[in-house]
Amino acid sequence: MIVKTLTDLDNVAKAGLGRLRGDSPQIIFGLATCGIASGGKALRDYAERYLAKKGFKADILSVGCIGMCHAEPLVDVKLPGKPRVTYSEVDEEKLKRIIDGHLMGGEPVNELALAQLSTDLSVSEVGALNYSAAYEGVPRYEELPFFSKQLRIVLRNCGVVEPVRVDEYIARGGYRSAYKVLHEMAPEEVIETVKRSGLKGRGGAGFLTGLKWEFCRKAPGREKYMICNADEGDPGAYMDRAVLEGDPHSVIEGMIISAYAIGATQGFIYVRTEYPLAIEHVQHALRQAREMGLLGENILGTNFSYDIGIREGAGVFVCGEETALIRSIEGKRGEPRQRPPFPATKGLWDKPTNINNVETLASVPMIIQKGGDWYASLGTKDSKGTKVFSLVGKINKPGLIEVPMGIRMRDIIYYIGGGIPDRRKFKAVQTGGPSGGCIPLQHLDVAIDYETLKSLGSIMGSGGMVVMDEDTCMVDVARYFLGFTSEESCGQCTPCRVGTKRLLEVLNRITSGKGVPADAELLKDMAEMVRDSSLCALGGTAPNPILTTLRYFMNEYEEHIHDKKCDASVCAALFKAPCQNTCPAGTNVPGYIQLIKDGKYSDAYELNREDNPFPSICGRVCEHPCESRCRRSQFDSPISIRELKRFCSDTARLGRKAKKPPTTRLKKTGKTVAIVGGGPAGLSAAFFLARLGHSPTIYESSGKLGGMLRWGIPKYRLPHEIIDMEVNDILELGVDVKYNVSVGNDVKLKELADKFDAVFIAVGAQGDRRLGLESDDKPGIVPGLNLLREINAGKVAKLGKRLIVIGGGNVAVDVARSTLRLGCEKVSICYRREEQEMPAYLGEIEAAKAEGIEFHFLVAPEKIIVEGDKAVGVLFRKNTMGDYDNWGRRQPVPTDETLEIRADTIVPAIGQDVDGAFADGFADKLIGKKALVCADGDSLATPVERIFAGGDAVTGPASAIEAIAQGKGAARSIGIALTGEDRFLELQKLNKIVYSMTPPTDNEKVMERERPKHAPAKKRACSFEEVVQCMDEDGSRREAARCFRCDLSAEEEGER
Amino acid sequence: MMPAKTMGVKIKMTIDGKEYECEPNQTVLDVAGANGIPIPTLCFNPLFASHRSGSCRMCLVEVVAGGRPGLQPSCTLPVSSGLSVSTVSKQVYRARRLAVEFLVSEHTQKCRDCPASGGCTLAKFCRDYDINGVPVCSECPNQRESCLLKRGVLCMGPITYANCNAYCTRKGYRCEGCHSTLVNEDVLRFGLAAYRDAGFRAEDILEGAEVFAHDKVSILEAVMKREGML
Amino acid sequence: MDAKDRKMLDDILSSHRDTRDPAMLILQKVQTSFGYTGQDHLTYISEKSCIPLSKLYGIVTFYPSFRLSPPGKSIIRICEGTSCHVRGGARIVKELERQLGIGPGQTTKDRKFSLESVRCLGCCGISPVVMMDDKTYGRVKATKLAEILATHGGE
Repeated sequence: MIVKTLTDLDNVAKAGLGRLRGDSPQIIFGLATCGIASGGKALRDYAERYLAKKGFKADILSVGCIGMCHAEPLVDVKLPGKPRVTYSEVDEEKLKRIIDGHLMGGEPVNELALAQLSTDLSVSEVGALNYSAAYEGVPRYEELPFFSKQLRIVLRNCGVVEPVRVDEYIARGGYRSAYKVLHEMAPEEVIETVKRSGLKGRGGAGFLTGLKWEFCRKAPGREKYMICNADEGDPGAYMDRAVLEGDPHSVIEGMIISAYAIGATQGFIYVRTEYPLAIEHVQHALRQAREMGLLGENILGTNFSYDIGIREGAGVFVCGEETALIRSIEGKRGEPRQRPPFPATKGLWDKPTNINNVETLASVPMIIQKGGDWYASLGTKDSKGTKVFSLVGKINKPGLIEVPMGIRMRDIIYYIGGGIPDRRKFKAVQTGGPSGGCIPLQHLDVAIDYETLKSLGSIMGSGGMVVMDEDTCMVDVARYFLGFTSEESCGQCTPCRVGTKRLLEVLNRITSGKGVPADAELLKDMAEMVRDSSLCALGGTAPNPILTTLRYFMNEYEEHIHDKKCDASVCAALFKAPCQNTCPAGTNVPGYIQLIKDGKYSDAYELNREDNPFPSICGRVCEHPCESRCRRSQFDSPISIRELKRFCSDTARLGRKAKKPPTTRLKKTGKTVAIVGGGPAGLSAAFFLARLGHSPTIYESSGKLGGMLRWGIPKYRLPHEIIDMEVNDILELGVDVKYNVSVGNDVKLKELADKFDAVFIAVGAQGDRRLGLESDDKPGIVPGLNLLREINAGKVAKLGKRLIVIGGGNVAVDVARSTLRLGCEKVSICYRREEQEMPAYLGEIEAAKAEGIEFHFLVAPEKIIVEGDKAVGVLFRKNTMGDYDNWGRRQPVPTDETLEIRADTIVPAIGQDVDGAFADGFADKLIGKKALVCADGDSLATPVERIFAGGDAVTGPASAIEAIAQGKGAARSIGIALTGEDRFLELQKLNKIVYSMTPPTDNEKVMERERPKHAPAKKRACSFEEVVQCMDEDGSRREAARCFRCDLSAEEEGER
Repeated sequence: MMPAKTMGVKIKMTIDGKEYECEPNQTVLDVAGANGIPIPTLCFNPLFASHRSGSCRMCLVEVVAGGRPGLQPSCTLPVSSGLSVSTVSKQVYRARRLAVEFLVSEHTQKCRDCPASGGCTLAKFCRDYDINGVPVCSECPNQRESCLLKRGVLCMGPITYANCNAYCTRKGYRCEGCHSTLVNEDVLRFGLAAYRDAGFRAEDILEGAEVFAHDKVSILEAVMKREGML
Repeated sequence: MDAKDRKMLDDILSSHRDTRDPAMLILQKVQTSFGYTGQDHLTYISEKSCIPLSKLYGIVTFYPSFRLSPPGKSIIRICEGTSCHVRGGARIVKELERQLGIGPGQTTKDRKFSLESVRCLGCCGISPVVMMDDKTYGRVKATKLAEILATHGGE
């Protein structure tokens, strides 16, 4: 039918509203491209078959994308008079349950339901879908963090209406704005309204839409064009696709309004050819609109005529630039041209032309409906309204969101997007695609709008937000984008055609380890000139990724150029295998795994020992950062690297054929080094110094060596015989030890500095931090590390039956599990944040739970309860989770509630500090920020000549492997300081351990990760016997065979 | 230059601080040309003056006032009342120089075999914008000399920069061409290929280099080794 | 080119008789009808429509979605978008190259598969993404590729 009057529109709306409100049961599938790709279409077919089999009559609907890409495929069920309920990540099994239980049974399947749409998400007042009769036990859409901060103007109908049904669009208020404009408003009024709204072009540059229309309106000429730019080329942005696929009529209505305002009679939608479904839906919508008199001659019964053709892009990025787009529609090569003249005066076929982006146009009907002032009331001072962002990359909940301008980046990433997956650290967010820049951690709090993003060196662009974590190399990101722009450069102007290529060459040079010191400066100079002198926006913005990464991640460039290192393990030429690159000590992981695979366990142990004197110890307690970067984890699951290390160590040292490792060392130099502290850092330094030919002497304040390894780790994790064994190996290299000598008390640092050629300070961080509450030193309170030390020394303290530990780190868990073994009946860990925020190792937390430790989360100690002169309990303040901090952890915020726990012993384990007593006489120079020892990050040299420092004393409490790596690094730089040459390479040539260099061919299939056996929880909870067992030989060799040998493919890539 | 067809109201614009009167339909390049202000161009062809792509970026000028500030190609920049541009600012010089550098970097620099030799605009720009990497031998054709190598003279041109002050093999006085042996390996390779083609022995080349650019002989040697000439 | 092909081209040409600047539209239709825009097609179109061959050639070489030679039976498009890149898309490319023995822009010897890389398929929420003919696969893992290839290779 032809629609001419409001009554006509109402009549169409009636049918649409009936369908939307659902007079019969409906099952609704999200079938935008992303939904189809996730298997939505197959589910729909399944539902059809299943319902036919059951003989149940229900409407099967297909809608567009609601934005929750992370939860695809999505299926909704809607019963008459009831809200729509969304089910996420549906498979056939779940679908069957949903159909049986909800569609046919009438009650939602609560455990599968994601949310219910009881309140309309759209701001439109017409045709809103609100239901008072909500279901119990199913969260509402607006309660989901993903939606609660959203304000949907552009996406008002996406995922709600069926895109192929114009009546549903009209039922939601569609084409009423067009009607209002054509019947009641003069073109100037329309322009005035849009100008007042402050709407800016959403395609990227952010020019005021109203102003653009006005220019075009005022341009002389009778023939004018109104074009919709849907050539969404930015990788990482897909809002235009979602709108065209899910709500094509909103764009068409926006075009009609714009065409009327500027006086255009003909228009085009220019869609990229990569969006076949969008093209199909737009074509369908155009046909419908023409049939109803909404396009063509005499639209809506007026004398205004306008029609829209569709043009497909052909895979060229620069065609998103308006002058290039015009040339493409003209059937030419899509090369941009110099402006001025602007398209508003000389555009398509040299006629005045207005070009707007999809998102801009989809906003227009709502601005007309609710007024320019309403729109201007949203957003920030200079950027009004809402913006659609596609939140993708390393994020838990990727998807499409529409939020008011001015929202904080932090809210988008952590609140809406749910943070970074796999406990990784956030690194940067890339906005604006290849034309934009990377925004780092320190700017996450800015209110996002056009101006702030620009001031940060990035741009809004079309709204792509690609989140990057610590596994992303920023130099590689810049290289990726320059690779993109240099290929997409149309080649017309010199700076863009040649400049992007030259920039890419420099970046390639840097990422392949051939960078020279001048490169950073060269990049900056060249990038700035390319930006300033290019013809169009492609060249003008192409250097942005370089300029922002240079600005915020200079350290990564320097690391690549000077140290030839890529910490993120991305740049293939700069590392052998990610595991080895990630290990602080640089252990040759692929090498020893190969040796295990080949049955050469002693060789494997010795290869380990080239970089780390404690393979047996690390095989038990290492936090194994290597495993988190294992390439195998992208395939099935990471290699059990730590357990393999344990296996080869145990076999080589404890097995039947056990033998002592060789004590090869370089010729004596006669140089002496004093090492303050016999912990992992000090011992590791002693090991390498001795092997380099120097004569180290360790000053240890206790009667035994090992430091935190011995005193801070319970025996059920690390038996003392293992420590003794590997410590003795070090001593046999010729290391002198002064036991029970405390530097600072028994001997002064000055004396050591005078007597020795160099001093290495590795005193660790062993002072327990106090709670900072009144009476926190009363009897009944035992500091965590102190307690562990006593337990490890065999001095069993009287603890009573009930014990609470305050804290969430490894010490807290170690204390809890140890005291349980000592006979405490009930042990609780009280932590002020949520479980996933606990810094303790995951495996330890799980083991503690299995052993029966009780956990209280979100409780902070407020008061110590004292009776007599003894602490008998703690009053905790309950917390709730507040805002996110810079590490993506939510800050605890106190509530009104409290929790009182009574206990015989209270153990605070909330962190450790460095005991600065050693520094007597040098304190002002050696002790720096946060009471840590000052030392240069690379050389570990302190401000005092010939004194070096490392380990926890410098870094603060860290893992064993980091301390070992620091000891190794210190030995190297002390060696250089003493002899003037780096003899480390010589050292590495001493023990030439050979292993196969043939890449494996048969392990690219799913292979189960081998896991070590654990002693049964009940049995182990009352003994200090080791909990984790060594893997057996067969299992270990099977596990070793899973290794991809990334080191070999890296060599190949490096050569290429 | 665009002929001033429409004689209408004259407007005034400023180039390098000096005011000029011009027609409304002119571009900045036209005005500069009419008043003898040099602006280099490559892609602009006076024979096809109506086609201006603005793609070579040699004619960039900096808009100082009266328009969107920043670099703009003067060939397409329409004049407007109050427009003020600079043709000599540091920014302009850097941009033009970079454009030449970029063009040269894409160039084979086989100037000896090039029909444009002698009248090559790019080579001229290289001198104007002080861009290294152009061998002395590109100068010879400018002086209407035939190639010395082809005449059997061991000329050091192919491996030395223009303006090097080395003694010219032919004339005996300091060539105003170059600074030293080319450090740019790509050009060096072309030069060496030219020697090889002309049949010179490696020892002779090295001996020549010893005389004219002895501090860079080691570099030359390394490249020759890599090229298999030693 | 046989009579059938010429008939198809004639039909395409006549359907755009009244379109302004139809070169691009004609070529796009040829591309979808034949799967590529070959030399023969271009020459024939140029003769019949009086659009200079150089212009047609300019268009098909500028826009990457035109193909100058016939593609394989199945076309595999690998997304090289940013989201796919940071989520390990390069490994997928490498694995596909290994399994098919061809690089992007090439066709296997048996003409079963053509491999193409595209800038962004707009499915960043479920990256990395691979498109086989008109079917899109999201959250692709290297382990799944063989399976996907098998369903499209028809073996």
